[in-house]
Amino acid sequence: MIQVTIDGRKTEVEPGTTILAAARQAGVAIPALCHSPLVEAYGVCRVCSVEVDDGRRRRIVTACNYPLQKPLEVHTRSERALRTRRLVLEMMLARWPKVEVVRELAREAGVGEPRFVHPRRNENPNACILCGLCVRLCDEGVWHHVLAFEGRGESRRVTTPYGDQPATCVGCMACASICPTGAIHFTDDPNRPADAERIRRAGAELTREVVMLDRHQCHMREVGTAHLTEIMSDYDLLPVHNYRYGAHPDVPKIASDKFKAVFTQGVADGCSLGCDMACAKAVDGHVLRTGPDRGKAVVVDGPEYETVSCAGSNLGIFEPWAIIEINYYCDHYGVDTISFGTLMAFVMECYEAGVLDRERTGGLDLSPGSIEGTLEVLHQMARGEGFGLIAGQGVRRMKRIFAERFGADPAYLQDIGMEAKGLEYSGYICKESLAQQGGYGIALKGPQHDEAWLIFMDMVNKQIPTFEDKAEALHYFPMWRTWFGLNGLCKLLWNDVEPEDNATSGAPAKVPAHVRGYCEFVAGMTGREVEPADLILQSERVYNFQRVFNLKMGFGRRAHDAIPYRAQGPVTEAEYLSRQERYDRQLKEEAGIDPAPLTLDERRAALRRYREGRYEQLLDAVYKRRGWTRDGIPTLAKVRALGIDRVPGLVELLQANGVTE
Amino acid sequence: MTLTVNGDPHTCGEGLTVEGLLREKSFSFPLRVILVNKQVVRREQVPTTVLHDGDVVEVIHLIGGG
Repeated sequence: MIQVTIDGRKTEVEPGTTILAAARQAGVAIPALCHSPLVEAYGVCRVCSVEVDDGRRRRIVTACNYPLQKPLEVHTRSERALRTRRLVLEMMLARWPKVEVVRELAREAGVGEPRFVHPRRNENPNACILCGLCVRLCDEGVWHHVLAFEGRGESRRVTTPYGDQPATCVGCMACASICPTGAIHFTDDPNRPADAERIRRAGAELTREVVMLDRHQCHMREVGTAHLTEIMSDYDLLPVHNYRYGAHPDVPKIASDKFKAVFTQGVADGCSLGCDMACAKAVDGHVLRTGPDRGKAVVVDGPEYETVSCAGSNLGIFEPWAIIEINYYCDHYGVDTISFGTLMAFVMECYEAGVLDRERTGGLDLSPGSIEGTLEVLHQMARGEGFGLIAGQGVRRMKRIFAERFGADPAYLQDIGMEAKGLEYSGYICKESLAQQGGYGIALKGPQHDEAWLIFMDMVNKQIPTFEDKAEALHYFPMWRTWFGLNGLCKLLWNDVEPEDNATSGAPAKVPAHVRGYCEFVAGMTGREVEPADLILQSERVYNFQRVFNLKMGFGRRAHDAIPYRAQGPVTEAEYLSRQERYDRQLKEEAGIDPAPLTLDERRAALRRYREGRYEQLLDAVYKRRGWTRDGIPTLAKVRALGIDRVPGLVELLQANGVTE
Repeated sequence: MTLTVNGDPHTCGEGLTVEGLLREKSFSFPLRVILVNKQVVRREQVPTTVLHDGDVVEVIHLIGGG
């Protein structure tokens, strides 16, 4: 620590602390204009000039960018310091006499009418004063580099490349919100919102949080969702070897730092107007080792967490290049990386269990971890030939094909085939979270995590212990997340960055300040005031309508919310033994069954009965909370309350399916 | 000493800090709220807050997932 004395007050600071930060710590105010915690110190306005004395000499420095390295005396109000600041402000006032922030600082410094006549005197109260905050924020904070200085001396001004509307600007308005004079205006409102300024205010706050807080929170801007890989492994939630296990010693080989090292693109890609989160990452110059583009250097969009988990650890593949190559060819062929990874994991377990062999795969070795085999199946899928023609039909159809053609046990295939409603599971182990089992199982379009991600609330925090608690969470969160889809908005800005005071908000899991921000957005867009409950109601109408639509298409009953046992508990002996202490303890403490006298098979069977019974109880509780029948169909009372009974044919459809109330 | 962590007993050595507890439990997810005996522990207090026998610790993980 270094001891500094500022206007006679002593304070201790870490080496490298600036005089400005040290002064604030000591309770001494130093005026500053071009300074902001959002960007690196710049020292251009010189309004924060102070006098320092290191024992050998006294001199004037700018407080915002002077790093303290040795004991020093700082004088913020010495005659020389005040004279310097006054001169700086007098010159600024001569050029921009009507700009309020300049007038205010000049007044505080005791500067009267300027003695000079500036040749570029500008009477505009919103004139640009060349502080550079906008240029630096766009460059350092937003990473878009849309703004820059042009010209020198008196001709210096802030502009965009060639003065044109830059294609790379996502309209985040960070520049306008940091500008101290109001010089930057956004005028392009193609959607004609009722109150554009209200939307901008809400957006500016989110931009501030992303730029300021992400580096301490999720690092979405550095590695995107890939930051989750090692975290999920820490919590035993990362799918490994077809969802058998939740962690693996080789995870460090595919951890986020490995991808960060190869990510070459990381600016916001403009997918969402005004968003600075820049979660999308890309790898430039990946040289393909397989397939039709072998030898070419390509750009790969990703990989994200779901690709790393489903098409990496879930296949026993711990080579970043292989995951990037799978990512590339999935995109190239138009195949979803989650579905491909999860169906390949099923294939590999079948190969390991003897359901498949080289003869049945057309000579391919599809043992867990086989990179060559995985990529070859992907290429065959795209060409519609060989084993790829079978694999490409997905887990649900493969279960039937393997049973019919290869004589495999259908019950075993059902247990290990990670699909529901025909869709492959996404990348989270949910065995220890009953609520998430429901989140996946009841999800309208199949087991994806976009409706509900409740594992931490349920398994780690133990905030929703009862069936009713879980059912309430399985009401609120799916409705809330559905709302993003309804409005074409992304969920990441809701809870992948959070306000500093979210911890004390009373309901941190819901991030109330951000929910309020979305209400501001809706009100600013439509001109109608809304409360959070209004947004949930919007979703509830659509969600229930979708459930009825599923019913019409043959997917909307309790039977369709069934999930494979692999999603609920350990299917194989090896799985049970890998977490035996946990399972034995649960049998004893939760199910009230003493495992000691039981064989391993008996323990597995007992645990299965217990867990499957609880899943059915969960369905009962969720259906009740949602106003559905025990068969999982919205009741007539519910559709009437939501006002969707007016949809032609809807009530008749429910009645034809036995709904009477 | 014994703590209660998210409702479960957790046995650990004397002098454990909140940061040490997070490490022991492999609680690596960054978006979380930590309460010791119902009092919020702020981010900057995590390394220096020492736990005591009988403390009730809640490490509320906020929702993650794509």
